[in-house]
Amino acid sequence: MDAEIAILRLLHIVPGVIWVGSALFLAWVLQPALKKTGPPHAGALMANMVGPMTKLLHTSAVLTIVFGVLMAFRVRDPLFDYLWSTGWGTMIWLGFLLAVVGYGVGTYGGLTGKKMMAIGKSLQSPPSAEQAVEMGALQNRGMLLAKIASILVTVAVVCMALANHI
Amino acid sequence: MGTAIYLAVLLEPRVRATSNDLERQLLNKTSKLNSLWITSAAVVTMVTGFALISTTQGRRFSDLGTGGWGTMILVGLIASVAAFLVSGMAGAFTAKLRRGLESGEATEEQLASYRRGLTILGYTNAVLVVVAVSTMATARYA
Repeated sequence: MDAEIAILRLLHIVPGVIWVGSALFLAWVLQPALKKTGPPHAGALMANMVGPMTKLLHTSAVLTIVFGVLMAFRVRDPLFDYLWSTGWGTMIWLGFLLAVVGYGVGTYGGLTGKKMMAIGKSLQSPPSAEQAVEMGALQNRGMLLAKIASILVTVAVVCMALANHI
Repeated sequence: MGTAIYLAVLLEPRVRATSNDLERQLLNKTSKLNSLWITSAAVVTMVTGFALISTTQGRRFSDLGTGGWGTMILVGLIASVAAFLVSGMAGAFTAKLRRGLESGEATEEQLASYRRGLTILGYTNAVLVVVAVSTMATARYA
């Protein structure tokens, strides 16, 4: 067994699957359900979840990207020659780009959610019409960003998975 | 796999830490969609996995269980089928919990027992899918 490659693959693929699966579930199942549930329950749950969820998503995303880059350098040498001149290289850099952009969009979506929670926490009484509109707009933006991020990282996985066959 | 881990490690413990009312509402809104989501993903993964084995050059179903590659793929296959069954059992526990919360007829002990069952099944499912993905991902190098 080529232990180094096997370990790099594990450290790339396992966090990658966790990242993409969690992003899809969050964007397409959990957030819409919480929106339907509405306050005060949804806010209470998200306040409880946002810390561990952020840790899980950031850790899995960073591990996926870092070990993916290390593996790319290990399997093709010199990597940069392959990246620009082969089908494999095109799919790999495209997947990398989509993953990084997806991570950025997801992070921005998370920050939007945190902003909305901060407004919710600062409220001493039910929100005014203006605050409710602002919170609604932030929630919609956060949900849209989460959906975009989940699509980007899914396409990144597709590119990476097909790279060897292009 | 991501959904299984997200559910077992993040979502379910935190939903239970809030209130019965939220748990009931969330189960009503997500449990059927969750089952559909997880079952479809699992079925697509397994069916395409079989298709991949049959179309991979130099590999056959008769290789399963023999040699490094065959052993890893077989272990992954068994783990994924087991995870699928465990996930089905978790779905049954979720339905019992949802009905119990909705009707208000289930005792606190019954609800606690459904939640305990769900926690154990959720973590078992998460471990099994990690084993399945890990063995499949490294099979080529075994």
